[in-house]
Amino acid sequence: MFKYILRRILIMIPVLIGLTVVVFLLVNVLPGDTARIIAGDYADEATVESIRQSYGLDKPIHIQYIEYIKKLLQGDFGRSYHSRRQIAKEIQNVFPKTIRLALATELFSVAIGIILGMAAALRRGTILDRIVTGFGVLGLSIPQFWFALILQLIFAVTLKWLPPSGYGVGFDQYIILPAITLGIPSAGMMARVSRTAFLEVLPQNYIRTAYAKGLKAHIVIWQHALKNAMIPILSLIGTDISRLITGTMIAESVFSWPGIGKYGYDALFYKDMPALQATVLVLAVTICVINLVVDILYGIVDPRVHVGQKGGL
Amino acid sequence: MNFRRMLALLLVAMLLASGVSALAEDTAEPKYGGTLVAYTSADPMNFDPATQTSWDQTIVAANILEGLVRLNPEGTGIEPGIAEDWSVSEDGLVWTFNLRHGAKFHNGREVVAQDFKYSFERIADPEMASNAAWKLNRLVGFDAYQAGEAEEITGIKVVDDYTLELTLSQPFAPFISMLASASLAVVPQEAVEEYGEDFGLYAVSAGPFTLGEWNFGQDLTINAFEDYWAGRPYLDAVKFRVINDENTRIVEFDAQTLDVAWITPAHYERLTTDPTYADSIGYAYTLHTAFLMFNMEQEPFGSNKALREAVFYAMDTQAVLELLQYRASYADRLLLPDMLGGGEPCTESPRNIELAKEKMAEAGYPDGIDEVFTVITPAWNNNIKILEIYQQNLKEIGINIEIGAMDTTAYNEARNSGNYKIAWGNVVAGYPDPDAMIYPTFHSSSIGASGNYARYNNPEVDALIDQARASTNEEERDTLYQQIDNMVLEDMPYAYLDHNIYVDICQPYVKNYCPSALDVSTYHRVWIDK
Repeated sequence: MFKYILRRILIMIPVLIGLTVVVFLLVNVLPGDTARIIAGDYADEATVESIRQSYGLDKPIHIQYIEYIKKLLQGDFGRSYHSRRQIAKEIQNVFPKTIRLALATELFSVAIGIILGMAAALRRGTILDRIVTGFGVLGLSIPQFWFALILQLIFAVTLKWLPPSGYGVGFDQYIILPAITLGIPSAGMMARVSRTAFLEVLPQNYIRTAYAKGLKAHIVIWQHALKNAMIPILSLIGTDISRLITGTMIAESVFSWPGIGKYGYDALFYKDMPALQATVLVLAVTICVINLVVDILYGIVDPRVHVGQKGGL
Repeated sequence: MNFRRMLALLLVAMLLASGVSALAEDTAEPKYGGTLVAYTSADPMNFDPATQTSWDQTIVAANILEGLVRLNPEGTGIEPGIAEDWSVSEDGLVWTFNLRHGAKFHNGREVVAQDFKYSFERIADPEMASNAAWKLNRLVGFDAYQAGEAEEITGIKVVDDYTLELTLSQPFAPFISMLASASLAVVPQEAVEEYGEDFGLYAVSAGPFTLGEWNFGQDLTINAFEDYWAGRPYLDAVKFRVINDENTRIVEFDAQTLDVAWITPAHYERLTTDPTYADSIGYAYTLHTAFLMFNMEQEPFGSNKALREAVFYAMDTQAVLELLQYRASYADRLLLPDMLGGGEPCTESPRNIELAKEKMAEAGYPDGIDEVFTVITPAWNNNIKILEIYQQNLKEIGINIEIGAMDTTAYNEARNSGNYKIAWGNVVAGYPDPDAMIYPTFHSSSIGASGNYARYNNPEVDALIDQARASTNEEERDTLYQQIDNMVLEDMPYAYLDHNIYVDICQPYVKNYCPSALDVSTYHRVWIDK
């Protein structure tokens, strides 16, 4: 197990190096002269030139890249062109907020999704089953932006139960609307996947045996069936969290949630290259880590999966 | 007879009544206290005067940072700041500023002339790489200082604690307006040295508010500065919430959790007709002009004046203003009517389709042009809708255009390098002076990224602009700018479209708030009545 984890971490290194190259190049081929953007409209050539020099933008691109990597290895993302603040500090501030939102969303969608999926599987072919299946399709096809506005309209404007937007600490009222906005598609997906998973598990012999030896229905379902249905659900949770962490931009924007999605959006808007590079890099590393964790969890949930033998990625 | 007397009495009564009510309003004493909730679209990040670029910064910075002069709340001119008054020498080169006694920094120390020398030299220091350095480049000794050949800018002279003398290498009238920029605010050396690279997070200056609690990405509060030279502001604080989405701002406004907002198109009708807000809607005639511009270095428009005129007369700006809910006004020149050098207000669309067709014939294209022109524009929703209207208009006279909507930076690049034949464009004044619009747009030395995107080059116009910049006589400048605007209109490198009107709404209990023509709201005169 330990060897496997170590190997996975080692494999991440070339992936990350490749990633820094791609990110660096992508940002550099974006249209627009960075020094000119920093200087702002109507600035004269002399100002633009002095900015170009002081930011090292006049150097060849491979030199710029090497300097970037040198700093990165010391954990230094550099200073933002736009704010001139330490990017590492900024990311430290915004990233946990996105994680918080992603976890709250995942909690919401897993709870709703598994219960609905389980209920649909147990009542297969009934109206309830159809409603759950319908909810799955609907949840996936609702446009996020529109749904966010509708939630705002209902709960903040009409009913006045919740604040329209903003950020609060602890598990508070501010997180509810963005979590539902982001969570509905996930819950829909989760309901469908868990329904299928339960349908596969329920006719299995060991379930019949469990019933036969006189176990109560809820024990069979929650302890035996759920644990075995968890494998596809778990892998969905993994991809879902990655998707949530990288895909909160719209919800963050509508609900003024100060997370990394908004931060990356602003960085792109100002063509703040170091901030943009740092954002992409942090998100990419997070996804790699989540994938690793999910793979390890497989082994814990399902002893048949021997992580050591899987090899590769 | 009786009737007449009654009428007269009635009139007198009405006059009295109206007089009294006006009086009552005038004497309504502003109240102290309260927190106003405003917004930014992104975290302002930094208030170091050296790095002010984005709207999110300047909207807050104007309330914290202050220099020799400050913008008026309407954003149409300047008023005294730390400098009580100033004078200019006969030759227009030496500006002498008399500083207020007792004006204080947020750290409690008195502001003296030496602080301005320090602050200006800090901005000009190439190490700072400040985007505002150019605003000082007319000071004697600026170049030598930037090149590292001199320890100081010799043109900044501290006569005594309360007298500052700035010497320019050439007379330059707009200089005083530029000094109102937040970038040229005064900062105390000891605070800059204490905070080092993070100075922008503490921003000690001398404005009416001080920087308070700052929750990165969420909100930022500025507090009344008790020792402000003009007395503390009425408000205890202004809290700027970071709300990026325009619709969310209106939702927050309706929930009364936001006190001011820009009205989005979808809510315009509802909010402007709601009697609750009858006295709470402010209009700012922004120092902004939009136009279609012709690349003067490319054919067929470059050398064909009649063709450019045909475009101008074909365009139905009335339909566009309707689309914009009349949050724009007609433009037939670059400068706005109220500005120095502004002409008569333009009250109707210059569209004249018959004339446009005549001009097409005169241009040598009586049957239209075969070529399809791509009009480049940033991919903003309104721009595309606007250009769709003009697309139809131009089709009527036989000019076919496609709308080349682009990402803003890609558009800027194409526009700046002259890689287009016709383009949508605009100019926004950076300081309240006609020069802020005329010089970048018309002067040949601004060709390219500096603002003359049409690549218009007329030595006569250049000479007049230089003369207007050098003159310190308001009347002379007024005449010169009118003359310049008219001359360029004759050549028509730009077909003017409209000037923006910025419409803000505030809660009924917010008093004395007005949106600024420069889009930089100041809050030191605002108060809350609740």
